Parts: sequence; C-alpha cells; structure tokens
Amino acid sequence: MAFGLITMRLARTLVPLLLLVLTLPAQQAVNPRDRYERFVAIVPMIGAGTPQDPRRPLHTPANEAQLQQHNRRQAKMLAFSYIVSDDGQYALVEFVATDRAAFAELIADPTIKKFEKGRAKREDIEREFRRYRRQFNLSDFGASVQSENCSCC
Amino acid sequence: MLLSVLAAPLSASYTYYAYRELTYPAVGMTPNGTPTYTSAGMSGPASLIGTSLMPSDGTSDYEVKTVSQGAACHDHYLRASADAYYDGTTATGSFYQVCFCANSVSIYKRVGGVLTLLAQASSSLEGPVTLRSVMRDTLLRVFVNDRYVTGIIDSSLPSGAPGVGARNSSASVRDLSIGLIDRVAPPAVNASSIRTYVTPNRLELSMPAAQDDPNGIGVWLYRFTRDGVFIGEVTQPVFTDPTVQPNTTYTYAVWVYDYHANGYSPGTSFTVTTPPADAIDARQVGVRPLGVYWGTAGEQIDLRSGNLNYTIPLLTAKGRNGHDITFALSYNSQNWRSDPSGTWNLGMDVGYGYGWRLMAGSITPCWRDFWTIDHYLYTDSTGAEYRLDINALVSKTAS
Repeated sequence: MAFGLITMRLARTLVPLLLLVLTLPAQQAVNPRDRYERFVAIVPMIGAGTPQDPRRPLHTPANEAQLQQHNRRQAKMLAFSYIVSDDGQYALVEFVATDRAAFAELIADPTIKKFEKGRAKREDIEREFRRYRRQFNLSDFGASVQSENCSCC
Repeated sequence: MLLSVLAAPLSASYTYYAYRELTYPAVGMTPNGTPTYTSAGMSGPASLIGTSLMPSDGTSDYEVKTVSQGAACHDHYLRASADAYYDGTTATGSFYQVCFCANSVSIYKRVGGVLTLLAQASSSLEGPVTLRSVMRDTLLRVFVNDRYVTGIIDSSLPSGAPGVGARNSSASVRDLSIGLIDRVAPPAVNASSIRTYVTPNRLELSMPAAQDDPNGIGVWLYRFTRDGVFIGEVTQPVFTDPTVQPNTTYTYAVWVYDYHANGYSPGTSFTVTTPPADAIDARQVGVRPLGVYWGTAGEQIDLRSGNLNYTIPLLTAKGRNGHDITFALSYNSQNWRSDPSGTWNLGMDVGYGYGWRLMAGSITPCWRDFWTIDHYLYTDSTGAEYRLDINALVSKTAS
C-alpha cells in the first residue's frame, strides 16, 4: 500500500518533469542569427602560421583539439569568424557561445575592445571598427547567418 | 568507368559534373600523403586534389560535396595546388581547407607557407550528413544538410583545384561530387502573391515558396529590407516584422537567393501602411488579468476575441522564499485566420499536438536589426503575449 502511494507520488512528480524535458526542445524556433550570446571584439592576430600554430585571432582555439579542450572546461564556444584590419595586424571578430561564461577570458582582458550584442550601440561599434578597417559595415558582418524560419516574436 | 558523371540533384535538375566514389584510386586526382582505399572510402592521412577536374567554364568557382554516413571527419579542399595537404601537423601547398571534424567546421587557408585559421563553427556531423562547400569569387560558404554553417570572404587565392582529404587512418571520405556554380538567379517573387496582415505594431507576411530555375541548385533564403535597410532573412517564405510603428507607411523588398548566392535584382518591392495605434487586433490569445472570460468546465472563452483557451497546470515549482512558478499546458483556438488575402495558419505542432504549448512563460528579445533590441515579448503560461516596450526606470524617491 505504502509502496503504491510512493510510486504514485513519484509518478505524479516525474511524469510532468519527463514531459517537460522531452518537449522543451520542440518549442518554437528562434531565428538562429538572434540566438546565443555574442560579442564582437578587436583582437590582435597571433600564431606563427605553422600547422601547429596557425595565424588566428587572440582568444580563439588553434585547432579542433584545442576547441574540444576549451569547451570541456568552459561554457561552449560555438563559433567565430572575423575580418582582418587594413594593416593585417588585428582581427575584427564575432564570437558566439551558448553561455556568456564562455567569454570569461575575453571579458577579463582589459587590453581588448569588445562589444556585447544587445547592449552596445551599433554606432559605437562601427565607429571603433572603422578605425581599424575603413570600409567596415556591421550589417555585412557576423559569425554566421544560419537562417531558419524566424518566428521570434 | 572510374570517370563517371553522376546526376545528383539537390533540387530541380542541377547536376554535378564529376563524381568519384573514392573506394579505389580516383582518376584525375593527385594523391598526397598515404591514401588507403576500402569500401568505406579513402582513409588518410591523405588528400586528393582534382587537378584534372577543373570546371569547364574556365573559372575556379565550384561546389564540392561529400556525403558522410557516420561521424564525419574529413576535409574539402578549394582553390588548391596539386600538392595541397594539411592533416593538423603537416601542411604543404596552397589551399582553402574546410575541415569537418569533432562536430565542428573549421576553415583554413595556406598561402605563401603561412597557415591561417579563418573561421570555426559548431555543427552536428553525426551521419548521415551532406557536406557542401561552395566557392564563388571571394566567397566560401559551407552547408551541412543544406543549413548554412559558416563562411568567409577572402581574396588570397583566385584559382586552384577542388579536392578532398582524410586526416588520419580512422577517418574516411567517399562519394565526392563536384559541380559548376549555378549563375542563374531564381525568379523574383510575384508582388501580387505576397500576403500581409498588419496590426499597429506588427507585420506578418507570407508568400508561396519560390522555385529555382529548372537547372538551379535550389532556393536557399529570402532576404528582406525595409525602407532600404536590411531587416532579416529566413529560409521559409514567411516573415514577421514586430518593430513597425502605428500609422506609418513602409516600403519592403524581398530577394530570393539560391545556394550559389544568386539573387534576382532589384528584388520585389511592396508597400504597407500600418493602422492607427487604437486599431484592435481581432486575435487575442491566452488569458489576461483584465480580460472577460466565460466557461464552466475549465475553458476560458475570451468575450472580446472569441478565443477559447484551455490551460492545464502541470507542475508548480516552489522556491524557499515563497515564490512559485507554474508550468502549464495550454491550448488556444485562434490558430487560423481568414481574411481577404486568404487563410493563415498561425498555430503549429511543437511536438505534442497542434496548438498546444507547455511553458512557464518566456521573455523573447525582438530585434530591430541584427544588433539592436527593439523590445521584448513576454508570453505567460496561458499563451497571452505582452509587448514590453517601455523602458521605465522606477525611482524609490519618485512621488
């Protein structure tokens, strides 16, 4: 009797939880371009250009192995893409991550100019970025389009 | 026999001009490294560069496609020299390389002996997956199962051959297809086929799915501008602009693009005028505190809109501070709308029945453009939506 009562209580708790877990991924999709946490930043290019140490922006993994290592210890960094400054010394980068915590190193670095999507003003970003690349346009910039049906709001 | 041309249409009758199974040495391709061939395809570490597989149109623009049955871990080479090779520890030649490995896509280039990592993006590569790299002019775009993953703009390498690679002996690649760039834009959208529904602060738009030309690679996305300013792009022919102002006329334009970046210019323009701020939307879903409802068996019929809401609280999470939050399964009947422009399907099945939603509530940012939040949309557990567009600072000293 008592066992049955416990089972019923357990089922009453677990079934909605299970339903919740199973159905949450099926919620309506948001435009992928508006998903995730995003920063844009001006960072120096690093790397010797060798197979083990390719040229790349600071705060990006050198290869797939480093990316996996990075994602094991931090919130997941999903993507980055960049254009180089007119003098080739800097990268104008967009970083994308599932969690803001993935940007901990970037945020903590006082030497880097960075802007967070949704907080920084477009004009401020474009003014700063154009100091490094004269023809910069934020509309043409981004880690990826990844477009889907936008039913965000 | 080895040099076979296989029709592998993505849509319509687009055909790839070269196909290699890669279960045996491929004709017209230069091997680098130590390729081995089995029924699973070519294993590495190795690359195969199609020095005899250049496009017939005299350009170095093409699409490289492979199909992976298991967890993908191989490379595409584009604009590559005959000795192009990169396995993570050794690199030779010049190339763009798209590396599909460890559920991520990385784009490298090697020019003048300097290797550069150009972009990286996470993407599920668990098979079967179709991997496509499209090189056109200075643009390289990568698609996984027809979804755009990442891309670059770079002008360092104007010419070179297509190819594939496998990074190690446990990685393999097979079924390589190489196709010409489709240079014909999909037909423009017929303006008369565009349907709009406008409320003071929202525009909904739908149109028939665009079709590419008969030999086209297929329609990829629809790009929208409002008064000449880019506002968004979608892969389905429906679009919502939640950032319009009441009593205002806007000129929209839509472009249809195919997977090879052709868009019919100048796009299709149409004009929309929003109603005044006091115009009432006949649709109102959810249960609101100030609404008037009727129902005797748990249903809530909105006496203003006629929407029938049925909400079943499933679970209440309680916090130590006395706060609680209820997860509810809700249904709203106003899923369809019929107006002079036709019938609109406003509901969807998110996995457990058409029109049903399970939620505690949500706050969604609505973007004016890629960078700027216009307002937030709060949806409660009954599905009622509230536009949060007043940014008011409340001062404790204010009277």
